[in-house]
Amino acid sequence: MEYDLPVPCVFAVYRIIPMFWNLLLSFKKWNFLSANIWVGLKNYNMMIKDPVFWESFRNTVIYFAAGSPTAIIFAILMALLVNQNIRGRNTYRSIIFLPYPLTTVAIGIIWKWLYNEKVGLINYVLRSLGIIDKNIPFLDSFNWALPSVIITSIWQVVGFFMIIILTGLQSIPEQLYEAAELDGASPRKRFYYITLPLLKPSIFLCFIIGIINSFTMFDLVYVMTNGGPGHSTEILVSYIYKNAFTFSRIGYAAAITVFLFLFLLFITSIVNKFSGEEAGGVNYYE
Amino acid sequence: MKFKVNMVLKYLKNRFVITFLSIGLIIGIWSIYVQYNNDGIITGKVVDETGKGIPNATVIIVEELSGGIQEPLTTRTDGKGNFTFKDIDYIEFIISAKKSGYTASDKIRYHLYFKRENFKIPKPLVLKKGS
Amino acid sequence: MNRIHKKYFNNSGRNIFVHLVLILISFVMLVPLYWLVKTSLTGENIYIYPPSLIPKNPNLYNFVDVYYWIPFARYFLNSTIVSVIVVISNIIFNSMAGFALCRSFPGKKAIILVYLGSIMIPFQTTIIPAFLITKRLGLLNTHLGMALPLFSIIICIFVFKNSFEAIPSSLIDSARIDGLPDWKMIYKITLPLSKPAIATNVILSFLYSWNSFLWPLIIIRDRNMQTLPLGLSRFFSYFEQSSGQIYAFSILVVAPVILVFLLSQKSFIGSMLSGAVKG
Repeated sequence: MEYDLPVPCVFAVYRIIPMFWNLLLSFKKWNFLSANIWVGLKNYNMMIKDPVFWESFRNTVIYFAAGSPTAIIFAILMALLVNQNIRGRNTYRSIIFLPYPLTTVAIGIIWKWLYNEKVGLINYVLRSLGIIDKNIPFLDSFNWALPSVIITSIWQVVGFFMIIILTGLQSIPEQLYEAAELDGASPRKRFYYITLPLLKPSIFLCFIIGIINSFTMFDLVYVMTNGGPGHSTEILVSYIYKNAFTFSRIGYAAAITVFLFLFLLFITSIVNKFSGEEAGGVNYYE
Repeated sequence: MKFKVNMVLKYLKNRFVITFLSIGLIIGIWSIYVQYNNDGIITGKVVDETGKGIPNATVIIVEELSGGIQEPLTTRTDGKGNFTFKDIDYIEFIISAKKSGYTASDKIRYHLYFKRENFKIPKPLVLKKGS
Repeated sequence: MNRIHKKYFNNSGRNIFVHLVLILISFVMLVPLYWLVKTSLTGENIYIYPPSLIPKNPNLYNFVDVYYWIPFARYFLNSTIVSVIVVISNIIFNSMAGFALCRSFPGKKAIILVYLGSIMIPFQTTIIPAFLITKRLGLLNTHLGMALPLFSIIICIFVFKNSFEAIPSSLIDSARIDGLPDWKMIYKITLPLSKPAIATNVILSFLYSWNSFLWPLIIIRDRNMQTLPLGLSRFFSYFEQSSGQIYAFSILVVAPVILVFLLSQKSFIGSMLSGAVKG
């Protein structure tokens, strides 16, 4: 069918050829200007010895390991709340969802202002409540910068996770609960034995989105900290960007990209295995 | 014919159409307002402490910009203490007045909503007796 | 029946509790946005401690400054052009591809495999070669260059496919007997019957192109070609948090998204759900 040709062409140009080209570049040394030299595995060797690479890898994993579960737990709680038969629940859903589609650059700017050391709202509130007695320079401190950025990304994504889980909740047949209630199962038992198992596909879908997000996020870090202070909020994508387009180390950046891609593939397939390959088993296409 | 009117009405009830039409309408009204008020005329009054107009005082207007020093413009007040600047295309400016025998007035900053907006300084500039 | 009634009566106390918790959550979600609006309207120095909770001397001068200090109109135009290209190309290409996938033809499996494989390759892992390709094509610093990687959102192909499959085949067959060429059939019969799928396409492609940042950051060097997020981050890196204008600018960048969201809440959320596995 000739109608199916244009789209594969776009993907060939922008996904598939680049993937292999990227692999090729990772064996080369090149800075846009110099000659293209084949250096074999030198870039990978350099990567293994590069502490900044390991730090950004560690940060990426922390983004995922700390951010996603927290967001999912909050999302489940919120989904249970807005699934109640109460007035105005659609309004609550919309409000909680609202941050997700907003331009991430703007969100970074808003939160950087909230985190401001001198006049930021967060410092002001914490100080007024007497929780802290000295303002915290959230984004300029080695200890606080990473958690601060993670909190921002949780704030942005939690509403989306909530909607995914809500869709899962609504697909659970009501009769199951009624039957369990007749059998005298307590609400807590009903949650553990009916809700949670049947929510599994939705939760795993959130996990996979969380993984992809934390391995591909860039905007927030670029605007809020640009990887600093030091490299304490550097993540793989921002490090790739810096290497390629600031330091012009194309081959090295390509090598990190290959690593990022393989690791992402590896971890998504593990999560997929755990989920019994049914992540997103609910049909969302309707 | 009736069919077409119905079609138009149906489109008008669409909330997307309503929203974008009203945004367009607001922009249109604003442009018309700007068209009729963009002569760049800034007027005001210089008074003494009793509220009486001071003739022949010097009024100085400077554009406020981030970075760079701007050339000030001056004019003089008429017999009743009124002054007029013409063709001013500042968006933010500082205005003050002085006259020998008086202490110079405060420097007051004003911000306009568009360049060349016709603007009447709301508070008169006050000169105090003595130097 | 009685039981259910009783249940609801007993729940009224609990409902108040649920409302309270939800109001608290909504508060947390909205406070950053309120703070943004408040700061952009504040007339005085924004570096005053303690910060006032409501804007003092509220005015719109920050928005006026955004208009005069930076080429906001130019940024807005660039963003709009890119979004329009992306939205239109998505509807055309995805509906064509979706239409084709409804039939059987040699190599169909391979093509579906290409689609599903492409979902597994995040765009961020191909930026370097994509940059080099765009450079070779001579599309650096152009609207088309910014739009090209977003020309087709894979998941939307399947959205169209599902929607087209629901159309009774008798309708398509009779049109074919009448000798209607395929492209006319897509345009005249299947597309008008798949309005929700079109809405999903429009919303997703608009959002991705409007919010896109990393790609324009890489391929745009010319100041006149910057899109809104790019202009925003550039402005931010010059002035840091020193001025209220940056917050007015941020509002203007997110306002179209909020507008589209408020106008089409249900289909908006549905679209985001179908785009959950980003293409």
